[in-house]
Amino acid sequence: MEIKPLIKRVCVYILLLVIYFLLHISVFPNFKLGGIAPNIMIILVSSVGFMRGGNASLFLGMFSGLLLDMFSGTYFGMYAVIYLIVGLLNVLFHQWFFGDDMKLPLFLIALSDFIYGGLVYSCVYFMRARYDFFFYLFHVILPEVVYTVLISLVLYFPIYYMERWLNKSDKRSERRFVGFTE
Amino acid sequence: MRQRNNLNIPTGGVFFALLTICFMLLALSYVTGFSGGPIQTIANYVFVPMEKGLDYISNRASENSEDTKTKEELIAENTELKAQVEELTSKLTNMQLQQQELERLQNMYELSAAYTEYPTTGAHVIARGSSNWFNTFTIDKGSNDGIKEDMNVISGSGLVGIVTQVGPSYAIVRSIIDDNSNVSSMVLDTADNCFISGDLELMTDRNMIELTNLEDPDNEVVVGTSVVTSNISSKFLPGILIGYISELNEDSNKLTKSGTVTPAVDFKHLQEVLVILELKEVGNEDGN
Repeated sequence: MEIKPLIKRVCVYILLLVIYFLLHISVFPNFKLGGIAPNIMIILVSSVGFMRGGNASLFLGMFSGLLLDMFSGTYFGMYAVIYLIVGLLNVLFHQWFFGDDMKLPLFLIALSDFIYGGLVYSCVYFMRARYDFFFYLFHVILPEVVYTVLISLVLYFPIYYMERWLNKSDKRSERRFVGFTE
Repeated sequence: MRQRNNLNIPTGGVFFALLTICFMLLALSYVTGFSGGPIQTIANYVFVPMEKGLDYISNRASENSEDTKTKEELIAENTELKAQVEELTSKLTNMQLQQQELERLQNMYELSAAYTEYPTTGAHVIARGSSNWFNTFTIDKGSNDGIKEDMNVISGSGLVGIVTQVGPSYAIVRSIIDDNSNVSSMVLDTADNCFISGDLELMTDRNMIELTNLEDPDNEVVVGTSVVTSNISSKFLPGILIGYISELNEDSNKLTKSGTVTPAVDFKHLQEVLVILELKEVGNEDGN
């Protein structure tokens, strides 16, 4: 891949990261339902993961996590690990993604958020002897999954169209490149 | 099909490389308290201004949708509040008289006031936590405004939390309802020491925090008593209101009591907080 489309792609991902991070940390916590805010970063990491696949998604996962770590004041690096794992999980489903169907994306976003919840619970809460998993399952993890999936019905599309636009311009520049060398 | 790996490294390898970096960061932050370093400064200038505006707007929007009341409701509330104002004004005059008397008597006995007023600075909440699991929030003042780690954060009615991380123009506050929080405190009436710790389970269920290790051999503490920060705490200044006891039971060891406390601060609608610009001074560094 040439350098110019790569820079374009990186810029688009940084832009998406900034917007979704701000939505995650400053906007949606004001619209909590039953004390639960949706997980916007999961929507971004998961969607890019199964749409794009490859290393880009892993890097995006890690940087999303690091950003959250910086503004959460708990263990620096914990979210990075969790979002990296979530990113990898979605990359594995890349080969089944065809773009014309909402079932797989919604399922994967839900699954990602569920796994995220499970990982946070087992890393932080289980370690501190909070053994009542089912309470956390029904009061934190599942409500968050439902709310996140609802929000992703809207916030999935900006990522989808950005990705489509990037792929199109990739192809265009590839053709131009081939034409130029011939 | 186009080759997907730009750098010809298999995804698995990259994954493990990144994972190693993350674990190294975790270890580094555990050992040295590292929390971003130079990236933190960049993040400070990129995100903090935007967070400020966005949180303000969305907070207003959510309040507007929440607080739409009918005219009748408002009128009823208004009359109720007016009655309350009158009641409180009369109370206040009474209190002022008592205060004057107290001051006069204190002067007579040459006693200084028990609780000096702490110097504070106001700050806005600009971001509210990174997940549903932690109760931390970001305020719009940082080291440039004299904020330091471990400073206490209060709101009009009581203790909110403690500063855990400081950037140039933002700081992260862990509230006392966070599952990780543990405050050494005492019952106001009897000065018995106890611990107040946040508990996500109690908080989501009943909006309360946990009280443990209260030694009360004479059964003097009753439900409704105020709980304040104790003077033996190493990080919290003494005498800040935490909340009111709402439930109290004897532990199975028959020596201590535990129960629940209703916090004095409304954590759901927190917008402005006050940071106390004074750190608790302790003789030895490794106190509890």
